Amino acid sequence: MAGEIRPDWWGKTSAGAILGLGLALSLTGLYAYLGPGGIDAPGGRYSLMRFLEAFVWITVFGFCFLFRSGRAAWAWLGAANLIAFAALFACRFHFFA
Amino acid sequence: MIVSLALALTVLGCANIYLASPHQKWRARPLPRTPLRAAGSLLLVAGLAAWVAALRPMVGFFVALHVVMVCLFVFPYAAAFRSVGRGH
Amino acid sequence: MIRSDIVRLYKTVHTWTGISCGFALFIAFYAGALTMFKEPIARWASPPAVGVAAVPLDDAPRLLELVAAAHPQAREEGIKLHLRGHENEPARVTWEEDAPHEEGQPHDHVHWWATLKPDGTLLAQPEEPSELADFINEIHMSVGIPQAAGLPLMGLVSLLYGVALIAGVIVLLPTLVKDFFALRVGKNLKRMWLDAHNVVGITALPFHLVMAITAIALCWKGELWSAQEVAIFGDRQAILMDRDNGPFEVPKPTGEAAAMMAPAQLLRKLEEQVPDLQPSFLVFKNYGDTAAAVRVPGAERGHVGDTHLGGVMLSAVTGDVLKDGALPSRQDPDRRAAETLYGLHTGQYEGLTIKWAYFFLGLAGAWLFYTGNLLWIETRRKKARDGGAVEQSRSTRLLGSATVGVCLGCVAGLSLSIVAAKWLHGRVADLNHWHAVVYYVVFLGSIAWAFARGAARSAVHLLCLSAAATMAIPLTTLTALLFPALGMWAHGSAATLGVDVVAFMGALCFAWMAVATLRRTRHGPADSVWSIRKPGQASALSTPVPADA
Repeated sequence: MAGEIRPDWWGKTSAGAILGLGLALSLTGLYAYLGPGGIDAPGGRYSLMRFLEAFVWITVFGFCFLFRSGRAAWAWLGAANLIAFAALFACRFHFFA
Repeated sequence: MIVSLALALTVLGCANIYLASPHQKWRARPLPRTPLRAAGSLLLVAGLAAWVAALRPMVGFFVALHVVMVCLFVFPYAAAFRSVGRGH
Repeated sequence: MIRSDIVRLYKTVHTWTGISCGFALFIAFYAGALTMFKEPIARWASPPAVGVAAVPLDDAPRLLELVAAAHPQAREEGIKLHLRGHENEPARVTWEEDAPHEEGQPHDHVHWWATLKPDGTLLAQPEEPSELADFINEIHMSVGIPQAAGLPLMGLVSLLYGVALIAGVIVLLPTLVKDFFALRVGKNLKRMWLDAHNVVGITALPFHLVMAITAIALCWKGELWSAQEVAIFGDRQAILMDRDNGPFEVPKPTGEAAAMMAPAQLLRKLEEQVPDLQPSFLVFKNYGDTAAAVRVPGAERGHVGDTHLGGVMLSAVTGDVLKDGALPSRQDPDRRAAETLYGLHTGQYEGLTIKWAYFFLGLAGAWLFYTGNLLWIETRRKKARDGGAVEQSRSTRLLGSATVGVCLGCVAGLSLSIVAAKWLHGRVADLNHWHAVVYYVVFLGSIAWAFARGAARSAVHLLCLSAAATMAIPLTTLTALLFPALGMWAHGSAATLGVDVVAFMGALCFAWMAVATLRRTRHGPADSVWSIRKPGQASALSTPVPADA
């Protein structure tokens, strides 16, 4: 990430808060489907997932200010969200067709 | 018994690590750093082993970790309070 | 090497996330540190009672039989048999019954205890136990705001706290190794507060990261559950949860009577089958039925986790283990990981060492947010030049007052709320309600006082109040001992005496801080919100002494 970093407080904060949550849910959801035992794994996976979501959300929100601009944050995180959610919904259709 | 030993080893290990720091304020003339660091690391490893022996791996590790965290901020504060007490 | 513009950027992130959640986090950490000793505090606050020892464990079967016969609802909902003999266990058995319910009102419970009279007949009485420890826990969880709004708010605060932690570490990175352990006390106040802030922040970083992550998951439990339901599980989560709750479900009563195994024998059978479980108490469901069950919550040696719901279920007839799915060693890896994280938040493992470590880490956390606010003020201090007068900006004056009022108001409020447990017992109808009243009056009053009198003066007053309120805890116990006619009590167990001793030490710390703060208001730099001297006086006085509080 060369060049000057622009603060873009509103753009980056909103990207971190909204897209951070999106990424947290979609990545954790992928773990729920593809993790050991799969989606029907007995036990407390849904409970552990809350902690995983919190971890991903904080991490994305915390580091999203490193993006060059608010627009870059929205673009990169938006793309990551799209891919992760596409994979998640593919899993949903595959396992619950 | 083994818990007291583990606690003592961990606290002593942290004390050695603190004394090895260039910012330590316990001694006017600092002690040689490398032996202190080595001793501190050995004591901490021995402390962790004692905690694990007493409380099994999971609990032993987390207890050791939290005791270390407390020691690492208590020592600089203790030194600072001592210097304030002397200053007045 | 990390770029300076990134450090600058993250300094702003750290400042604003920190300042916006510092107050809530101070309260959460201070009250949270106290909850590490919620058991001793509950014992300290519990009035003398019949006690567990009045009915030896060998006589417990008769007591259980009488209770089950006379209180069908207790038999169904569960009769709790106490084992430890702590002061907050009013008798050998206790249970809850539904209170008469009015339309539109929340459901309420009546707490009962029962013991055997000398002639062997049943003595059962409704009596509300002290909820002081739960009240402190409530302040910890939602900073005194009703939970419907308080929990979501604290979820947001925890999220910002996590961001502030990451930002703080990035800001610190360039000097992390060089300044580790540095705590330079001296004339440079900004340097001193910065060191004081950094050293507690960086050494306790793993603790803070765990707290931020787990607090979000705990505060937004319902919200995240719903989000998972919509985005991930597509309405299948409830099925999984039902399956997961199997270990807690009680077998249905058959209606046929059976002889029950005696509790002492049940405990022996438990020891044989699950030697690592340390039972907290026993809960009998459907006592006297062939399908009667005993829930045995407790900690399992070597595992971090929940000690309240976990444990096993035994048959009350044979003492055989019926269900052990909630036992840490039998849990699936996901549940185990989740409960380990929960246990790391609450510090429910090992014993005394971890409770003390969490207590100090919690207080250090509160101190971290307090120094953060002081640093904000010190950074924005307008320095007087050449003896000229300066007026400090409005924002620093207001933040100074708010910091003093909120933080010290919380400290004094909690201490007086604890004291009220003994002074108001038997003198008011609903003591548990009065714990809240005392806390809010002191807390809001302190904030009002801090804004009315300014940060410098009110800091001294409120530190004195905090010291006096905290000292009142051991003094109350002493008064109870010296004047029994007052109707108060002084327990002699190590745990309750520990509450008095720790409060005594805490009061000395607050008193010392009050003296140091008083010195600062008089001799510290006049060009500060912490001085009571008029800015113009600065040059008239002798050379200022550096503040050291």
